[in-house]
Amino acid sequence: MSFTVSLQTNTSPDNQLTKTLTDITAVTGVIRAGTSIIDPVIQIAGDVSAVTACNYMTIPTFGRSYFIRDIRSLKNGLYEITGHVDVLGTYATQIRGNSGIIQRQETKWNLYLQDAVFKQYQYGLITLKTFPSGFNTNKFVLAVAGGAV
Amino acid sequence: MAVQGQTIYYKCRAYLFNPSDRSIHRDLGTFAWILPCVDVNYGTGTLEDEDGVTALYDTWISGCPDFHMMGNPRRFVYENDSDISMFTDFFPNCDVLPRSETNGYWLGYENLTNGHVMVKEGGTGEFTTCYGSMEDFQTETDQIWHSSDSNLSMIFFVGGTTEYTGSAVMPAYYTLEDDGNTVDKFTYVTIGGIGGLPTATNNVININSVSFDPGWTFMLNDFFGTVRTYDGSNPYEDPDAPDDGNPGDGSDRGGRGGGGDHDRRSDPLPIPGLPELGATDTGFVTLYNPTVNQLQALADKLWDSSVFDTEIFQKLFESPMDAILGLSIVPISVTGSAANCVIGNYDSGVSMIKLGSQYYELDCGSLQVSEFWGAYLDYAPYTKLMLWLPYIGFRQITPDDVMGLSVNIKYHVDVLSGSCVAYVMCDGKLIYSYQGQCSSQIPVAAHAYNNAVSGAIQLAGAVGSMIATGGMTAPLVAPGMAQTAINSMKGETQRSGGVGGTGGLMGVQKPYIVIVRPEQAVPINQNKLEGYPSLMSGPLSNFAGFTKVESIHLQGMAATEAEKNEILSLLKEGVIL
Repeated sequence: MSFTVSLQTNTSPDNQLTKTLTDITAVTGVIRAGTSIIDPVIQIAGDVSAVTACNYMTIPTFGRSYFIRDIRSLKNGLYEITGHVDVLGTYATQIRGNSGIIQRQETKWNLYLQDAVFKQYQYGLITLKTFPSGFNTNKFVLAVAGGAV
Repeated sequence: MAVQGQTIYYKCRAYLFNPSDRSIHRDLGTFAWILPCVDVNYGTGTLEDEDGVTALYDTWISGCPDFHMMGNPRRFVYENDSDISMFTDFFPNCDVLPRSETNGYWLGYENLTNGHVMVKEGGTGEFTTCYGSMEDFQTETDQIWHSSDSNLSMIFFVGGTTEYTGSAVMPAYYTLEDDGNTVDKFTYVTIGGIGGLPTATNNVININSVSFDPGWTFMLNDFFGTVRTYDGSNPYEDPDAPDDGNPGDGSDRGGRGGGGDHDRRSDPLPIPGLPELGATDTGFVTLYNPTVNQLQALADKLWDSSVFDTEIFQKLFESPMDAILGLSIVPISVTGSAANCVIGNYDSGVSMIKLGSQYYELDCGSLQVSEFWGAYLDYAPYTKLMLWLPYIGFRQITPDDVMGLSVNIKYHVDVLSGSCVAYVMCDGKLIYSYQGQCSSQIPVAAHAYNNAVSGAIQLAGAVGSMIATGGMTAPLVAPGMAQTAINSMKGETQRSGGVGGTGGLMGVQKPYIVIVRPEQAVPINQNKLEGYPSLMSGPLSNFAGFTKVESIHLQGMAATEAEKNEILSLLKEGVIL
């Protein structure tokens, strides 16, 4: 079965949902028998400079985007590309629609929660705060027996 | 056994099962209210027929259409020959009658006595047939029979003998619903419905199982049959019931607990007032506040024995100095009125202030202890607070008590003994109190001097040596060790010993707080790379940037199982939204 493969370059972190992609070329690919659509091995024919410039591909027929794990040359102009599904990129919209409890976040946080990754210097910060008043006089007190005259 | 007028309590377990193979479709759990003999919401009430005859009912089940009911051999009902054979295979000791003689159902109920079984045909019809006394149904082979028509009701009269007719409608007690898939399954089970009409003197127990679609069957299994007396307590509570290994109660109430009163209010607790009675009220002791000159004048008088009526004086004292109980320096202003100093019965003629009371209060004012970061670092164990109290010493207090709040300190001083108590109030709440010694004794005789010196030595040694800090022997810090664990290895520093008496007189006279805070090491862009603790919840579309998910139930995506697992794993490691 043949299908269209869009070869692209991804410059975003792998763990980013929406990738910044640059289209390189679109080719026709054939999936090798026995491979899955999660980790496909696809044979394509293409220009060597275009193929080797890619690290990402989208296969609309599979409805998925893939990280390119490996590119092997089979023979002149024929290449075998091993991919792994980019689940974050493929299902980005659905993922954003789910609700969850956030453990750590870049912009929305609660600093009163203990932070397990907190680091401190070995020296501390010591300050003194005084109360406004205290004992400010000295008096003699003479205690005598009797005297209740 | 049920006794007329006595309420009883039952519970049972309910199942949905497939009658074709007896497989259990759904375990509906244990219900305490299906047969609620003491449940005032569901199980008890009064019925009244058209004739105005009323009766109390405990619990009832009525309406037996095409259904199967299984239980132990003494409590069962089933419908046809095939069921009978299956049932007898299941309960081999069961003795059943051939269908031709039974024409429908068998039923046994072990805990009913002195009653009659009434059968009613039709949902709203009259009960027409009495099948005899319940005393006949107390063995395993006891059974009753009735027609296989639908909408049958069976009523057990406990304690009564009279057939009752009428058209009163019993209220629905409880409705169970299935999981919403009504195809070939029941849609609801109403425990309750049209039912029986007992006599005015009878308690009624009858069985209603329902109206539901064939294909699935509602089964009430194993009536526990424990008879209890209702004592007015929560009828759903059974103190003897086993926990069955499930600490959550499994109900739709959300489990156990959560019933706290959430009362955040504190009771008012002001600083106590000064004592009302003192030594000076007795007449045996008098306190004076002499100036230096007055003291010197008094000393001159005491050393001049010619002014004494020694014959009288020596009846009380061996020496004039014995009448001097003590001379001390106290760090607090005292009040009184001018009077001659009288020692024993000797008027020295030296005028000085005679104190009206031995107890005095000193207010050291308030201090606002503010957060430094506005974060968890402002609190224990990261931030440490040491409170210096004059004449007491350093005391460690927890920042959790005072952070962000106003702290007020007051002293109560007894100038006779020199004892003092420091009260630490936080936001109007008394949270700490410490005792100390604030007078410095001045020896006026040899024995008094010795006591003063020994007392000072004891005070100095009251709180001993320095505690070794973490720096004495550097602890081994393992990589990845939590900062709190590292903090605890630093140890506590003792900043003073006991500081009272003369030592206190030479010490700092004003309270203060030593605040030890950590110096935080924060790399640039930590929030982008690691984020900060959040614990917020909501759709992930509400968040942007680095996000690490604590928990989420993924749905609404046509991803394979492996893909979903990978998504979950990545979300928990942290993704960039």
